[in-house]
Amino acid sequence: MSICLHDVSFAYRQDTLVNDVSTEFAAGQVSIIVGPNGAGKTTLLKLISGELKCGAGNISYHGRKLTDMSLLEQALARAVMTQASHIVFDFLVKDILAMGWVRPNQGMMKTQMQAVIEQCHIADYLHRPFNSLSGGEQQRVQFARALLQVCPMAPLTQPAFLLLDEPTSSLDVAHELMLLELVQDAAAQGIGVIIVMHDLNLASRYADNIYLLCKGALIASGSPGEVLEGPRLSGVYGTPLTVEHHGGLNRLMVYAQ
Amino acid sequence: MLTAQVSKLWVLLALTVISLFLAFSVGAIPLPVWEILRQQATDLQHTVFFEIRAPRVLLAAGVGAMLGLSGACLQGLFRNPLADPTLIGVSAGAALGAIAMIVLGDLIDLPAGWAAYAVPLAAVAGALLVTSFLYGFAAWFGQFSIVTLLLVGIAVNALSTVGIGAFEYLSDDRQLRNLVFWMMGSFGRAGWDTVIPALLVMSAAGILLIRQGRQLDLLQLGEAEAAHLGINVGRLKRVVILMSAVAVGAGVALSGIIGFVGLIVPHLVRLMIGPLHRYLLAGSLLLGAGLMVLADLLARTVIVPAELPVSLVTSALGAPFFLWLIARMRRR
Repeated sequence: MSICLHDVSFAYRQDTLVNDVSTEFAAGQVSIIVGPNGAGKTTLLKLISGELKCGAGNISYHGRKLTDMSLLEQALARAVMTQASHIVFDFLVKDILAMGWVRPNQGMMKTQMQAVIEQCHIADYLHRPFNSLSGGEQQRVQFARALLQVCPMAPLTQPAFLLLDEPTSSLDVAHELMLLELVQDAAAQGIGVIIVMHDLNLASRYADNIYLLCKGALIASGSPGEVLEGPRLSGVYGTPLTVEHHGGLNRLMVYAQ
Repeated sequence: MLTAQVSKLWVLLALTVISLFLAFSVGAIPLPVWEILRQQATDLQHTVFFEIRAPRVLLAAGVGAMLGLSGACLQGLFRNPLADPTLIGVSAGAALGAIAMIVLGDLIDLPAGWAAYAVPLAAVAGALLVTSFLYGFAAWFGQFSIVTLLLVGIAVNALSTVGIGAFEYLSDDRQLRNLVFWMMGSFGRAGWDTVIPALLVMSAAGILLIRQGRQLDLLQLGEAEAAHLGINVGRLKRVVILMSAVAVGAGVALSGIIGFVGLIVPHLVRLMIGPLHRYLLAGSLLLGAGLMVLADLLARTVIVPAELPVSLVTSALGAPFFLWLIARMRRR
C-alpha cells in the first residue's frame, strides 16, 4: 500500500528540476521531504499529485499508474494542501470545508464532516466567514478540507494520501505543533502523509521517513536516524551543520555551528 | 441552511413572476392579462399583447437573465467581483461584431435563409473574441487583479468604440439608423421571428452555465486546488467563456448594449443568499430577468408615449451602485 516512483524526471526548459528519482511512500506513515531551496521539493510533490506530468518515468498509487486514473479517481486517492491561497468571495468556513467532499453520496457527508470538525478543533468558527479567520485558523480549515477529501470510509477502500506543501509556513510554533499533531493522527488512521518542509528539527520529530533532496536528486531516504547525519547535511546545505541526539527529548537535533 | 437558500430562490422566482405580470399588464395601453388569456379581451388588446407586449417583455426577461447569469459566471471564473460583461468589454465586442455584420453584410452575398442569423452570429463571435482575449491575458499574468481587469476592459471598450466609429463613418443612412439602435440599447423592436430563436439559444446556454455551479465553487480555492478536487479546469473555462459569450451575444444582437445588470445582479443575490455558486447562478438568472423587465417597464412608461432607452435606466441605477461597491471594497 504505497505510492511508487520509478525513475521520475522532470525538466522545465533547460533546467532539470527532478532527476531520476525512484522511491516509495508508505500509507499510514508520515513522510517528510527536506532539502535546500531549489532542490525540487515542491516540484516533486506536484508530480506526485499529478499537477505536473512526469517528463520521464512514472508514478503509481497502489500499483495503478497515476496517468491511467481519472480526475475523480485521483481526487479520491490523494488530497493536496497548497500554501494558503486568497479566497475572493465571503464563503463561510463550513462552505470551504464541504468543498473537500468529492464523493457522490451526500448522505455520508454530514457524519464525516462532523468527525473531521472534531478532529481538527474547528467547531467554534464553522459559521464565520473564512476570510475573517487568522492565518493559523485558515490553515487548519484547509487541512480539515483536505482530510475530509481522503477520510477513510467503510467499506474500507485503499488508503489515501495527504500531500502538504509547507503546511506550517505561516504558523507560529504552537499552531505548527498543533497541525503536525493532526498530521500524526491522520497517519495513525492509515492515511499516508507526504510533507514538504524546511525545518529539520520538526522533520526529525514527526517523520517516520525523511527524504533528502538536492538539485533534483534523491540523496538519501529512510528513518531520521539514517538520513540526518552531520557531514551529509553540511554537504547538501553548503553550511556546517551538527546532528546530536538529545537525551531528554530522545530525538535528533540539528544545529548550525 | 440548504433549505434557507432554496426557499430564498423560491422568493426570487415569485418576484420574477410578479414582475412579468406587471410588465405584461402596464404600458401605454393597459392590458387585462387574465381576460386576454381567457380570450375575453378586445381584438386590439389581443393584438397589442401578442404582437408587441409579450415578445418585448420575454426578450427583456431573457436578456436580463443571461446578463445576470453570465455576470455571476464570469465573476466566478475570473475570481473577481467586478467582472461584468459590459464593463470588461464583452458586450462591446458583441456590438462590434453585430455592427460589422450590419454594415459589411450587404457586401457579402449571404443565402436568404442565413441573413437573419448573420448579425446574431457575428455578435456571438465578437463576444467570444473579447472573452477569450481577456482570459488569455489573465492566464498570461497568472491572475488578474481587479484593477487590471477594469483597465483592460477600458482598453477593449475603447477599441470597440473605434471600430464602431469607423463603421458609422462607412455606413449609409439606413445602416446608420440601425447602428444608433445598438448604441442605445432597447427592446422596442422585439418580434417573434427573432425573439424565439434568441430565447432558444439563451435557454441552451443558460442550462449549460447553471450546471457549472459546484465546479465554480471549487474553483474559488484556486485553479490547482480545483484540479486536485477532480475538476477538469480547462473544460470548465471553455464552457463558461463560450456559453457566456453565446448568452450575452444573443442578447446584444437583439437589444444592443445594456450596462450594469451583469454587475449588480450577482452582488444583490450574494447579499441575499451568500456566495455559493450552486445557488448564486440560479438566483442571478431570476433576479436578472425580474430587474430587466422592471427597468424596461420604467423605460417605456415614464414619458408615454415616447420611451427612454432601457440602458439609460440600468446605467442610472447601476453606476451609483458601482461606486458604492468600489467604496465598500476600499474599506476592507
